[in-house]
Amino acid sequence: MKTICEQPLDQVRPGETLGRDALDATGNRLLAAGTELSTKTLALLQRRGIKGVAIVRENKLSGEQTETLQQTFEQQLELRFRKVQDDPSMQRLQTLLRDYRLGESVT
Amino acid sequence: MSTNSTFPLQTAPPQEEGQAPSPGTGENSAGLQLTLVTLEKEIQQLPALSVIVSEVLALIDRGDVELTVLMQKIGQDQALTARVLRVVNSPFYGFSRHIGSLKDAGMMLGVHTLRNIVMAAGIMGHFPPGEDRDFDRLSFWQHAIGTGVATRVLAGHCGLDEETAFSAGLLHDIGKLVMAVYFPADFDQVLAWRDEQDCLLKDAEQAVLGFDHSLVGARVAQKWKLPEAIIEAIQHHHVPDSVADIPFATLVHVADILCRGLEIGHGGDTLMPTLDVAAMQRVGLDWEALRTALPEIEALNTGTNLMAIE
Repeated sequence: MKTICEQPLDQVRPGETLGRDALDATGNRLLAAGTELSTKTLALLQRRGIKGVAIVRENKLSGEQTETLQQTFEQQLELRFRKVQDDPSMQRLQTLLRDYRLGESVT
Repeated sequence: MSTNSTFPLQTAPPQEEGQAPSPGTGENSAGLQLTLVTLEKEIQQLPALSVIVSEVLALIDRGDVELTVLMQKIGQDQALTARVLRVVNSPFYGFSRHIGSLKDAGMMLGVHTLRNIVMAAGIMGHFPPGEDRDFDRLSFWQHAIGTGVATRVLAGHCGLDEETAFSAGLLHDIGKLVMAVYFPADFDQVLAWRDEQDCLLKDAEQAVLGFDHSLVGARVAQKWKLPEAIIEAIQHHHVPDSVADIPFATLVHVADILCRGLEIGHGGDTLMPTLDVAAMQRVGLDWEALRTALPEIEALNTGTNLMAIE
């Protein structure tokens, strides 16, 4: 399964693929989603002060392991958010955290 | 360094003449030492920060201090020196080589950064990780450091001072620790209420005491003469909307919530306060900023080990 996950720039290797557009501080697009990163483009991102990017990663866990991990994390989040389930902003935050932890599924 | 034995736990609360036995909210509590009436006086009686920490901060605030004098002063306290070097070598500052001496640390960081580091190190040294009944200081500090790191990352997004941000985040819950250490009997009642009601620690404090750790923390920060921006952030981190012009309160508010979501340490309960989205947007943070902040926070926090003592 492929997922998109946020990574600090120093942990990204040449050959990896951007999962989302890389934007600078003012929102200008530096590189488009789907770009395969090279040493040169990574250096460019660093020069532009980018600290992290979204990368497409192949999930190495088996389907079963992934499911267990997902369930554990979902339970943890649900426990943490148990008193604010009805608040739309908190629902959005919960989704944000889930996507960050588990990676957005790439369809 | 010892743990609890350094702190004179006040067991017999001094009774004010003619004072009602429970001048807090009364309904949910009995025989409290800490009430709205006694708060100011009780805080004034708390121990000062170590002499050396106080002297270093005072020297810096006088404004004309020589770096070498400052470094000699810090060097008199071994634990403080070790902590300062630990912070200097944390990933915040990104120095490519290990900084092994105070002299180098001072030259590379400058007085403003040094002031924040001494303050943070001094307060952490005042409450070393130890066992309090039902309150784990190590997890408390892990949450505090994580929140400091997160506040710093968010400040970077907003173009605000990152040093002040770190200190504000680190110290935002100091009132909880003060209550746990110096007013353990009162705090036990708060924890019992929290467990009974399954509520946020601050709501339990409000119910039992009639005020919460943000007020206690702000009063202690005043007693220790911390900078105004940090006092305000401590006092308002749960209701940043009431102080539209104190961005650090908002940054700490958001940072605290993110660290709870990332399960960094333990801030005293297992719940989520509600995010004040309006306040968050007013300081220039949006959902996209939060998303990009998460990996930065975790990466920076993983490399930041301020608690271990050499």
